[in-house]
Amino acid sequence: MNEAGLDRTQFEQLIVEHGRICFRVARALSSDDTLAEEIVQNAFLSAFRARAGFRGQGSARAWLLTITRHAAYREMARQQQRPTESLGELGVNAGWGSEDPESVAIAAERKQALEQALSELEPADREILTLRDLEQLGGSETCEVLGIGLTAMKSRLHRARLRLAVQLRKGASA
Amino acid sequence: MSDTMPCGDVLEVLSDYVDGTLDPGTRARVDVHLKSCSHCQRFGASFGGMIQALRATPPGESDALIRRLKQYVADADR
Repeated sequence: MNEAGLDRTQFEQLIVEHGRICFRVARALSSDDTLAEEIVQNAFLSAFRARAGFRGQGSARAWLLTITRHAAYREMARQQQRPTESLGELGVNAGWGSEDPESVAIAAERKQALEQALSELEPADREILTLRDLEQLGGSETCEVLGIGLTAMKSRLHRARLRLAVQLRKGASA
Repeated sequence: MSDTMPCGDVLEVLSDYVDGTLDPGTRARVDVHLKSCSHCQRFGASFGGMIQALRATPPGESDALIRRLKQYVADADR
């Protein structure tokens, strides 16, 4: 990378390295393959046009993911704020204290059941599970992409995981 | 003073416990709780199993996507 930012070849390499994860995050937010690809196209085009301004400060992946998220939220209507259930309530619905908590892990082993459960979640929950668990970004990078602090990130992640467990349990008992 | 952790407190830190990001003192207290509480132990194992299954999910095919992205940026830049 030179002082004038990324050149075209370097940018193409970023597409190779990070196109897939950006698509996955866009898909998590939009629930639609075609729309997700449009979002990522717009995001990478914006990033390409702004590439002179990127001089290696922070990670390229986090930079591209941030642009992708902003592109996704511009394309979609904001999800309605819903009342936040208590952690205990979430836990109970996920099987905490029940006679068959194992049903969650058993269901998660089945790819179709896991995909179905993920599809039932709100976009923000899918997003953080995609970043932390599916793509295994570190905590700091996830905070950087989401623009939130560590405590907020951990809280959001824990709730998203519990909501996934709730959906898996519902699917298992259906 | 008892070091017994209530079940609700264990639920609250369960993600950190599975991720290995708890401080040693709290981790030790959770370990003690799990040894004596079968409900939390079973739920914790299942919750951890779910997270492992997520992490083991393969990323999916992306070569065609990458080709299309490169082409899109190249075409738009003409």
